[in-house]
Amino acid sequence: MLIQILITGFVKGGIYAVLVAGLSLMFGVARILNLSYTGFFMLTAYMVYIFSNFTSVPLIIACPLSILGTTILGVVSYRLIIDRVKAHELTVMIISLALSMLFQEILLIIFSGDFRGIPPFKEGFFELGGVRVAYQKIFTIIVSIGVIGALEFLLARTRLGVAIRAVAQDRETANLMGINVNRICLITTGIAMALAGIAGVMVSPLLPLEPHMWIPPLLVILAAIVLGGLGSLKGSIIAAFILGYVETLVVFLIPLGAYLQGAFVLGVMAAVLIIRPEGLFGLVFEEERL
Amino acid sequence: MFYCREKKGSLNFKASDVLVFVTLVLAFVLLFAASQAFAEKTQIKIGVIGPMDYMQGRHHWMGAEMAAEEINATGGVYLDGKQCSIELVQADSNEMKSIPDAIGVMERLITSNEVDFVVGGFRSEAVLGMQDVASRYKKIFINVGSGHPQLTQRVNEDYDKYKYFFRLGSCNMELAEQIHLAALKMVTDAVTRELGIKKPKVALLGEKLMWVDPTFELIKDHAAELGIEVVGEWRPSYSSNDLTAEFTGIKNAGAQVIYDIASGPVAQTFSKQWGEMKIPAAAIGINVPAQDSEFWKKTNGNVEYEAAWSTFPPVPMTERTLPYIEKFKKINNTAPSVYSQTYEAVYILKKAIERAGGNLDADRVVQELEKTDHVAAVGRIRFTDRDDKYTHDMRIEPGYVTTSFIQWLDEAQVCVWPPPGGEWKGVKYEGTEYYKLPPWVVAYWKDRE
Repeated sequence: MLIQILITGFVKGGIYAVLVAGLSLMFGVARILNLSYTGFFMLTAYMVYIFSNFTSVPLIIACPLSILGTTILGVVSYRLIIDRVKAHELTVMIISLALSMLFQEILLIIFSGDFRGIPPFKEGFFELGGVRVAYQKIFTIIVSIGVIGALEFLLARTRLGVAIRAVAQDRETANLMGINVNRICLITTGIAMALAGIAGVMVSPLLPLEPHMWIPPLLVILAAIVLGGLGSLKGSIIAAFILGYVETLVVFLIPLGAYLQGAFVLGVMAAVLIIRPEGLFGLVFEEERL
Repeated sequence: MFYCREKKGSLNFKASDVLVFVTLVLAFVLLFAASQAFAEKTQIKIGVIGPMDYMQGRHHWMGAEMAAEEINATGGVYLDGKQCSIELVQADSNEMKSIPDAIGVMERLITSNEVDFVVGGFRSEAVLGMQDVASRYKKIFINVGSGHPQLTQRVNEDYDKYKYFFRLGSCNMELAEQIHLAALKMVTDAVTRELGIKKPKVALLGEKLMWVDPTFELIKDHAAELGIEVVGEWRPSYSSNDLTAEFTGIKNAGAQVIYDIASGPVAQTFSKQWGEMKIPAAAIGINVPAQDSEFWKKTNGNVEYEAAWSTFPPVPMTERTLPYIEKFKKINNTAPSVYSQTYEAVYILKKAIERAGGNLDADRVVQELEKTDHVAAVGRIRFTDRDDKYTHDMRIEPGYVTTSFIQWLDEAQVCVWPPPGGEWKGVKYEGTEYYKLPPWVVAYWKDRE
């Protein structure tokens, strides 16, 4: 059973990791908690659904197009709405939440609340240590590792990455050093929205598509961000895996209480915060950002 | 005394002016009230309540609308010596998201829209609240689509208060016990017969909602009688979107059969992952969305071989079944479901009103509804009696409504229960086929031998 818990938890955590990376990046750099993140994730999923059901565009083209569409929409919404109120954290949270609800209601009007589905890129599964893992999940984890690696490379090895880190660490000094902070925030939002799009493309074939599908993942990734330490990308990703394991343990150890997964996730988060208020990899010093 | 102090630049009213004005207003109000009281009723208003953004609510509306159009086209309902037409009032209960919303909408339907009757309702938790509102206003409410026994148990326990409530469509999970047990036995017998397993292991997997509890309790209570072993109960949330851990647990427990009950997003997750991961346990149960004719496409074909409870299998349960399904499909471009039995609810109301002598008095209509004997598309509908444990519930037994189980085979729903040979109390419907175990389940357990 231990091996099965290890494998199942890793698969769950890997899927949460791809979801959490973008929001954590956006929070770390732009310092905004954009709660519309999973709303954009949902929009991408619906775009893929539209392409695959109402057009003859092959999936290999439909997916990049959907990611591009989400990125553009995310950047435009940042520029038109979030950017204007970003100085007020609570306003950003409420407005971004309202944006997701707006997406939800629009999708509800167009597609109704019926459950829909996107076909996986590859049907079937393989068995590892007694656990049947769908190919789509393995594909998602591989992409998630690739995306996190690429993000790490971008942040550590490129000029843009240096600029992003500089803004994340101290935006005033970065500004004095000639970095256009607003542009970096916009670029970071674009990257984060592209990550939401990638997550939408990868994860949505695993989920029933319906206009409220943005809510459950938002809860988990917010818990991961807080548990990992606000602003720490590394912490968020590790927390995503921890939460994946918490959920798995709940199902394996108390099957009758499988519905309590969300409660346990929040419970673990609260317990860690009581002992370590800054989270697992929280920032004691501003310089540790990213 | 009525007087207005004169002010420079303001209007000046005398006491007599005010008196005349008040008298005129009172006279208008009295005349309006009198005209309403003595006005001849030309329409019967029926409220249709349900989650209109979802399949459940839409089907509530489609069924009621179809019946109202048919009745109006043939002269309407006989009321006080006149033919009245039926006017439907749509009310979106939002019960998927908010139970207080649903209760508020029911109140509005009765007080503001002034409907004469209400049909619909889906989530048991919400319908319990709606039932209280309807009873408070002594308004007849025919629920179409909730399964919790408490709804009709309340009618039995406090008849005077709740007698205005009737249930159609969805089965009281306790009254349907023989059906669930017999259908489960059909699958466990197949396991014994084809796999040589004398005491099949059954896993219970159901969303964490109250309507699921009675059936699971029932199966656990009758396990010895059925010759099965219940290896565990998994209760994911209604909106769960990943059942990998649950399926791994079920596989570890060595279950050959899963009895699943779900209506929310988790129902689609169940079918998708069960088929995709070829879980080595046959799936049967109440997967509500699996009744949808589009479900094969929505699960990318992974529902293949899953068996699910169904109200409208593609077989003639009565002479009205197939024509009704055809007509419904033609009008609405989708197959009917348990929720579209608002169609029968409207017809049953019409007949009861006419039997009551064309009277809308709730108590008299209740008396006539209790005498209902209506051959519907799903079977012969009669309500349970006042001295039954569950009062005003739909009778579920041979000769009345039996419902059925379908199995998804080759992209289509095939009726597999009641079995074609009349093995269940002699009931059989033409066109039914024998249940087939999923080939990967057979292969898995034969390999283990």
